Amino acid sequence: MIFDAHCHIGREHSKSGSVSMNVDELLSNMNRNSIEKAVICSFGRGLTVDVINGNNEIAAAVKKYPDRFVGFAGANPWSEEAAVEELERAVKTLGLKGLKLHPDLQGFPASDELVLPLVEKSAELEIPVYVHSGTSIYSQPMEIGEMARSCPEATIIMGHMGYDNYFFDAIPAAKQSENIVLETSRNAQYWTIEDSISLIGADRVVFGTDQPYSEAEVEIARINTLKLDSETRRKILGENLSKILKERVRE
Amino acid sequence: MIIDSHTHIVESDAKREMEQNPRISADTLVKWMDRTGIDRAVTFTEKGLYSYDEKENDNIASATKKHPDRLIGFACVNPRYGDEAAEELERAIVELGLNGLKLHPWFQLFSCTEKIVEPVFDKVVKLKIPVLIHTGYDIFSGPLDVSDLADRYTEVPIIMGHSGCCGLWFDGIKAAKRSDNLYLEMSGNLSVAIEKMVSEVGAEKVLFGSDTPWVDPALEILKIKTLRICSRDKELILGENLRKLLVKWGI
Repeated sequence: MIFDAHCHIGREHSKSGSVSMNVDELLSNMNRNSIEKAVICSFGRGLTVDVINGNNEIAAAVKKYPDRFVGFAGANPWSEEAAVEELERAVKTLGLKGLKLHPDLQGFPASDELVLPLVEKSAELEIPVYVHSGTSIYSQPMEIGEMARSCPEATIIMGHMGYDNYFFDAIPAAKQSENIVLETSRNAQYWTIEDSISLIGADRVVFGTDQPYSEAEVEIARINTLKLDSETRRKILGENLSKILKERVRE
Repeated sequence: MIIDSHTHIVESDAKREMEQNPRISADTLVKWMDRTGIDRAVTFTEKGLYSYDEKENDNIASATKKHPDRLIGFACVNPRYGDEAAEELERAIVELGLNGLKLHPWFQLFSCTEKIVEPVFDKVVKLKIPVLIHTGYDIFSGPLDVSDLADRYTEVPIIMGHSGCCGLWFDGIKAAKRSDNLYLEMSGNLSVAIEKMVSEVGAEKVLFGSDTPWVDPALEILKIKTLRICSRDKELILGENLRKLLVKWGI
């Protein structure tokens, strides 16, 4: 079973035009690539200045396809108490099962204590926190390591495991904090994934695609180029994430 | 036809930060090309990017002499060495028969906006060679820095390696739109970013690159093949553009 840890629904309004993906496009990509389930979250406005609507949209998509999608909530640390309240609403009322943070889009250093109330609330709600890493300077793996150390009860999924400029810090950060899980999407240096399996362990690596920024076919091909035994492959492609979400999620 | 505009030959012990350090000789590079259907490749040093070693240009020259139908060698000099670097560039092009220049502002500690690049670039003009410059969201490597250089040397064809990478691709597009002498090499970049390069700048300015051996070239080819662009544009990107440019540049 393939369980994709990272997809977006909606529209990103950015400097150079917009990137978008709707529910049907994502589902058809998933079907074509035998992806059974996917974590979905908002991007652009839905993650930064309009998180209430973003979360409602994610919840609506999950409600429509409950067997295919697991929704992660957006909450902006700058909204402080209101962000914590919105996260609680998104989880308890809307049924979302994780928190998505994007330090450079949301404008805070990942190591800043501004984010801690949200991370602590996630631990209390028993949901994982997915944090984008790599771009830009505020999303360095070692900064995410600080976040993870500040709240060892939270499960921190390090998106893109440092990406193409900070891949070398992803494994050291994960070595420091056992509550860090590394996510594979957009990771050009394929051996970072191999190294993370041998140095951190096959239980702490999860597969993701980052659609619509990357293609599911390419991301699966990346995993297929790795020399993995079948148990490790199963864990990375789905079992680990199922476990994280099932164990951490309050029904 | 597939022509790869970005490969490295790694035969030294110069270690990068990661655990693995795949060595790749000229013969191995050609084997990788055979495996993935790449007809020709522009190749340059890895070690020479972070240590000033003239022997690296000799190594690249012997690689291209061994595989003249498959490999196109680019020299590497560090602009920080001023006139000395310009002389070495002349030796590499005139005596060794290399065909272009590779620069890496981040590893070589210079900004393209600095006056220090002038001795090397004045030589580039005299030698009438193309230059491939690494770009990304690391320090010194912003596409707009390269754009400034392209505006100062309008007669020099400049290939923007990685097109700003996944963190600054939108600046790469802005730069390429206004400078006729800038080309966008897409290795390591996002599928959606490449689609935007095609729609906003035109497929004629986009060049395929793999960044072998740091990335599996099969994945970069798959990335082009899965783009939502017409098949003609895919052919242009994978090889046709560079084939025509090599003729134009007398290579």
